[in-house]
Amino acid sequence: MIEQLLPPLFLPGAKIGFANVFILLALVLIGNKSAFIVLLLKCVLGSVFSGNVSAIMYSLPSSILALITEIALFRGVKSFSVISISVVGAVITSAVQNVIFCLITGTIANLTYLPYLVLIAILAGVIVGFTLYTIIKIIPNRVLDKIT
Amino acid sequence: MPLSNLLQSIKQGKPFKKADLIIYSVIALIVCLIFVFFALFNNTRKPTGFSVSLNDQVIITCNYNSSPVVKTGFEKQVEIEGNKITVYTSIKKTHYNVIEIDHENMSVDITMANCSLSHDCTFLPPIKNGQGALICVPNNLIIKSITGTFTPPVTG
Repeated sequence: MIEQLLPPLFLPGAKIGFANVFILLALVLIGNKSAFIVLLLKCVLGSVFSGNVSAIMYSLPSSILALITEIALFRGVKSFSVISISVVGAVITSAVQNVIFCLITGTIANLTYLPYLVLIAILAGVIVGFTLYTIIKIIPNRVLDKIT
Repeated sequence: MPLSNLLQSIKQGKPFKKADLIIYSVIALIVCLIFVFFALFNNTRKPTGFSVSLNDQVIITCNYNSSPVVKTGFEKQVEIEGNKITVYTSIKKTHYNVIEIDHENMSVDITMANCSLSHDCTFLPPIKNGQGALICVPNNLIIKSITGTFTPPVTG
């Protein structure tokens, strides 16, 4: 909601997505189910309070797909850093949102924004991933023990 | 309870790992392919005008050489003043978009809206060529470029 009050990031609709820090935090600290609950709350409440309820059509499927990919990368392939996994999630979210948007509105021409949205998503993913990494690094082990 | 393996690996690990190169290479390849695709299939035909759709119905068409034509039944929802068109989503006139036409440069833009908090549609660049569209999702308004044959909506 606060991000929506800020001007768009180079392109309309493009945002850093700081709310995704909390989804990834729930995923890393608690588990898959908690991450999905946080994701649902973020999509539904964000759409309702921003006055744009139709945005759920775009944000929910893309966020779910991104989270499933992130879970697979976190649990399955353990060679990647949290920042690169965040980048993958951001790219999938942006790309899927753009595709759904073009299909629903019937304006395939807007797919021309896709490469630019992917580039912005890489930047957003790095920022979100680095924020998550820093939070986990800073929080003492004894506090993390109580949360997990 | 000890920290999970995942948390341990993040706590003790570095922000970037060598394997990340695989992810970034794949993403870079995908971006390049998308750019090449759009470079090959770019529509550079000159526009002759544009159409405005509200709730999936074309209500206004405008040839850049003449004035906008409003579909019968929607006259109360559309106000035309010079180069500006104000489109209201309903007769109650609670939600609107202001469209600005540049006849000289053959472009059209959404300059004002009261759709939601972010007004993303007003930040979209004007459509100048035969491709692209201006979309206001909350108001269900779409502006598309027309190239080639022009078909005005039903009037009278």
